Amino acid sequence: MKVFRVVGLLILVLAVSTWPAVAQEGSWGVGVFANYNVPVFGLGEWYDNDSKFGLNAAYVPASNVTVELEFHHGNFTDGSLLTRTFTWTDGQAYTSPNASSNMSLNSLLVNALVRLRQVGEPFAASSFAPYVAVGGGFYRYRNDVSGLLWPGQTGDLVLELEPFSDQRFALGINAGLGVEAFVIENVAVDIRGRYNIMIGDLRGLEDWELSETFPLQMLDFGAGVKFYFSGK
Amino acid sequence: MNRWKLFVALPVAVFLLAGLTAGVFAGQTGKLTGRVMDAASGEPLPGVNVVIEGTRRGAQSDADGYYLLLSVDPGNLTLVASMVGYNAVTKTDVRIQADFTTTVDFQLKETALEAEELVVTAERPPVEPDKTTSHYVMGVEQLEALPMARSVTDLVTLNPGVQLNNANVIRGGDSRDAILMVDGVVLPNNDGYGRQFTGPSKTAVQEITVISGGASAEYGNLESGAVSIITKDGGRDFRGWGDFRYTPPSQKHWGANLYESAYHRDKLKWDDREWRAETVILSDGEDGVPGTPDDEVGLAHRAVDYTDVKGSYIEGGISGPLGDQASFFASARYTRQPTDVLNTSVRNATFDPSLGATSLTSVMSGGFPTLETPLDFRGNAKLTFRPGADAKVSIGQIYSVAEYYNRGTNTQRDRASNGQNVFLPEGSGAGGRKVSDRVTYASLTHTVSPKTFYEARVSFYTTLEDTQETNWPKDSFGFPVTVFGEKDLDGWFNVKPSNVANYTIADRSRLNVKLDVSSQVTKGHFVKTGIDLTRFSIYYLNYNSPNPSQRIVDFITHSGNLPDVKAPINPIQIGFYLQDKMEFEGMVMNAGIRFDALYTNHRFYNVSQLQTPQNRWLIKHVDMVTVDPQWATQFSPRFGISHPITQRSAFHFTAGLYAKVPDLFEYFREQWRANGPDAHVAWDAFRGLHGQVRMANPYVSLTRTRAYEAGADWNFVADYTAGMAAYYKSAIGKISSGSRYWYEPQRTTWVWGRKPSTYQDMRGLELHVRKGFSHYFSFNAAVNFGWASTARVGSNATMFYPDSSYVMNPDQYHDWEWDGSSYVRKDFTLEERMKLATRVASWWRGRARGITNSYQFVIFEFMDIQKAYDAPANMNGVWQPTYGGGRLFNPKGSDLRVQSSLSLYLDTPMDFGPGLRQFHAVGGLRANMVWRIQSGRPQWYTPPGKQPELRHRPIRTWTDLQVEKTLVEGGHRNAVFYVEIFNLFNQQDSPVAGSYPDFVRWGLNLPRPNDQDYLTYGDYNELTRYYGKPREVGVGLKVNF
Repeated sequence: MKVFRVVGLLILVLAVSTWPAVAQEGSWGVGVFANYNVPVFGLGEWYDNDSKFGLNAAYVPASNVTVELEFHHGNFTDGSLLTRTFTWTDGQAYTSPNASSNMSLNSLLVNALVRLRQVGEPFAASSFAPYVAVGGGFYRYRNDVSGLLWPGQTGDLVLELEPFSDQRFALGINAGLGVEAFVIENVAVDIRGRYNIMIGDLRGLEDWELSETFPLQMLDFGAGVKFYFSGK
Repeated sequence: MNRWKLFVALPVAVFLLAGLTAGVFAGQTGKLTGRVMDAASGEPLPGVNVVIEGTRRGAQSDADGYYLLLSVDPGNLTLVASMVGYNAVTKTDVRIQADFTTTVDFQLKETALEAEELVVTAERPPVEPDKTTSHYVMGVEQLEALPMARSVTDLVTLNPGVQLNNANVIRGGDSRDAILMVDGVVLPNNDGYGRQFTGPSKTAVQEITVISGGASAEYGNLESGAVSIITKDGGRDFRGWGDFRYTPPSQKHWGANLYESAYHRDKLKWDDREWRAETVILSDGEDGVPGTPDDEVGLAHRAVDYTDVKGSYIEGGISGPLGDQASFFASARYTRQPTDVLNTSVRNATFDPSLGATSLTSVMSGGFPTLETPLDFRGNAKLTFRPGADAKVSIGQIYSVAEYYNRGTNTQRDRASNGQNVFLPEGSGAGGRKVSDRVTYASLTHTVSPKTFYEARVSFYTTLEDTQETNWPKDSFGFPVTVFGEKDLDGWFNVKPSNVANYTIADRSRLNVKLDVSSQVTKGHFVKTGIDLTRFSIYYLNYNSPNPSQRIVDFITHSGNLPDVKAPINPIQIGFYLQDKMEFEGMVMNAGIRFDALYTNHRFYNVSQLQTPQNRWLIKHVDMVTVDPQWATQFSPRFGISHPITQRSAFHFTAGLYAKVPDLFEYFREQWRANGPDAHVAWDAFRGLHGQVRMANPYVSLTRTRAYEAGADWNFVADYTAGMAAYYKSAIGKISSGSRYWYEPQRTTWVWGRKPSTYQDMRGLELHVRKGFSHYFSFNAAVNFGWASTARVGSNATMFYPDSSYVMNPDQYHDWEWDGSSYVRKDFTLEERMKLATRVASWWRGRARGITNSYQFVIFEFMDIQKAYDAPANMNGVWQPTYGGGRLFNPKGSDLRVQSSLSLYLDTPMDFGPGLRQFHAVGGLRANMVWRIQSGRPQWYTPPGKQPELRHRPIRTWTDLQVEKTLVEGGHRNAVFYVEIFNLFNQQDSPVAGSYPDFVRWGLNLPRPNDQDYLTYGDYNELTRYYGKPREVGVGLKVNF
């Protein structure tokens, strides 16, 4: 809860400190985001939906464009391997009781938000603008797997595979739609949904019916608050 | 007409054509054209002078207002259009690209209407309207935006279609399929097993053009693409530059330090005092007598801190004028970069951005182990004279030298032999190897009329290879012999290196004469024709004695002259082409035809006789029947078309046939082997050999590749451009090994040969997206999807069964023996011949049954040996080709289906961002990041209970970054500090060297969980499990003055 208090205080300070300013071309801004990651295709076979949090810094070079630098941190925990089975030499299906499968995912992206239309005065209170978001950057992922029983053994089923990790700073791109609504003149609420594709891979575990996953793909839906400062 | 007459007639025809035709484009220069109009009336203005500022070159507009300038050097220039009564108009930053037409139009205003001269910046269209090929140009701006790419190899591999780790592999081809030219001089890669010299250092390069497909007829002797490098000329001001980079010591391989690695299992005994104190006599000292006080004694188990090796990289140059009509340019690069000295793996040598071309050389020469900090020097010098406005003469030289160690069993500290060599001293018991390249050339570009010019080039390119630092004992005849080293008391580690006699002497020279004539015949026809003639002079000898009782001799020379290996062979390669570039209202067509030929210019020993008893002695080559020199020829039509779709997009299509002369080693190389001592051969070390393992083959034809592609380029927004090309090509006549068996009564022998019997099919998609430099950044992304398959067609072996009449003829069938002073003929007695003939007859009966049976099941044929191999008429017997099995459409081993690169460049002005007085922390910053990915090698895998599937091993990505900060800037003088990081993210990817099924099923990239060594010692293969190297950081300083 301490974290929420700090973040709340930060938001209050930012709101107060930027109150007199009116966001416009040349403005700078910062924001915080909470998102929901929805892994799809191969990655969806590994993990269920999970949350992530992030910060961004924005710059408004033109009235219809915002460029932002975005950092996110998220995790996928307790992957499907925990419940997946393999068929051993005796023809029976077994799970691995000690199995662990977790993935961390951080991203550092540069995005461009291109506003489709503007409802109300730009950056004014109660105005809003839907936008198209496109961006790219590095997604740093690390997928840790351990505790899997080794299906290749004979005798008693006791030997486990060595823990392994698949990790990479994967180049990736994203695209999606969102809407930015100004609550007051310098504070906007931002809601967006995006598709992300990362040039990375996870090794296959075909005895558990998990094929090699390449590339990694996911959707993310999020909401955030952005605070703009006068740039002029 | 016989072939010699043809040989004479071709150049004559070229000159005749040159006289008849009138105008064109050239591979080394560009064409500049445009129209001059009256700004007020819109009418064309004739008689306007259009001049390249700072030169005496210019043209006058014709009655329709058009002007034309041919043979314009690539680069940026300023054009001035002027006429009495009109204000002059200056266009700056006019960018000329080799092979392309640059169009610059002018609109002049009358003096009375406008008082001042108008200066505007020219803009090159983002989509070239006359691009009829997949053609990528890197000008000075692009080259400077890639500081992370240190060498020509690095730069070329960032282009679409080029394999990321080999600049010579384009669109899935092989390492000899492309050609590389420097200033129009082809640096051949087909006279020494694909070794490609890449020419000068990066700072000497003015422009690089990569043609990944659809090369026009002027480009010959290639299967896939072409790389053309144009070097810089000196300018009108004196300039200099220097670059020094320091690489701190670090471990250059993955895993633990080798002296602590599980790799050695329990062989290392650092806790054992006696083991640590064990000594070894490394040499007998100056007196050469063992057991005397001057013997060199050292610790047997010496752990060398091989991670404490620094590296340096120095590059610099100077250029300037030499009077009014001449200029000079000189640059040099010297590197001593640390390598993983304990690594014998070729894999790490295949791509090393820090070493650039050295890594390429290592690959091409078969991956020799490197020195601790191998010498790699390359430099170039160029003088340019402009005796008049219409002529340019260039004289240049490029020189390179690099050093390696020779290979040999247990001769060098490395990981070979299960790590038993790690205590050997630095150096090699097989000696070192120095390879140098020197290219000297002269060219003349002469514009004989406003619409016609010619380029003449003469070049002489020599590659020398020699063994050095050898210390081999000699036998009683003075020839080097191999002596085994010594092991430690445990009998495991090698502690004194073997002296392995393994030397190479080679000289490859190429004298090239080239003439190109270009002419603008009419407004819509740009005709170019040319002839290219290369006379090779090659000798090569590798003498290798891997152990005291074995000798292998590998050579290219006139074998009858042995041991005088320095009797070179002189094959001649000829190319001739004629092409027309037609420009009609935006549509551009390029049609041409090319003729390529190789004349072996060498009387080969009749290969059909090589395995007979009387000829299987190398010493008796001199007595053998020879065959006439052979010709291999091929005509290659080429066609390309480009058509605009919109003002910002264009489409192109190409089709053509491409012929390539296979590596000359395939024609001329012989290899002989002897097991056991040959002490009675007093006068040389190898004439007594009588086991040929590889034969020359004068009948190799040219490789032919049919290629088609369709592509488009689109400037979709601002300075963002995207391009795509889909291609298909099929190569036949690729060289592979074939064997020949000789079944005769005394013994059966076999010999390897090389046959043009393999095909390759390649298809793929090539994409790129580029952004020109603006808003402080640019980027260039290239993506290649490719599929390549290969298989053998035709026979893989030939068998010969002599008949009894052949055996009974003493002139055909006899042997040789040593009589104490020389080899004398040994004839068989009549009784022996009768026995042999009886055995032959028996063989025949058995074989006849087999042949009869074979008819029922396989495609079968007899060869006409007289026709196929010029065999003597009395070689009686049966030649039977056989056909090997194998999977058709097997994926190529180098079939990397997906590979991609992205280079991003950021550059801020000096006053960018917040600053304190004159200092701006983020001003004057340049950053260049290069990211690469390639898919793993193809792999057949059979899932349990299913059919085999083609899979790929895991991907590999790696990222390099360079950040520069300008410290001092004043005009053209500046000083820049930089940091460069290879493998920025320390990415550790694995090719999965172990069991691929274990990896697919269980994700297992380690030994199995029940592997006892693994359980006891840990991951004993961690040193070789991963690609490349860990992160490496270097810092440097660049100055320009």
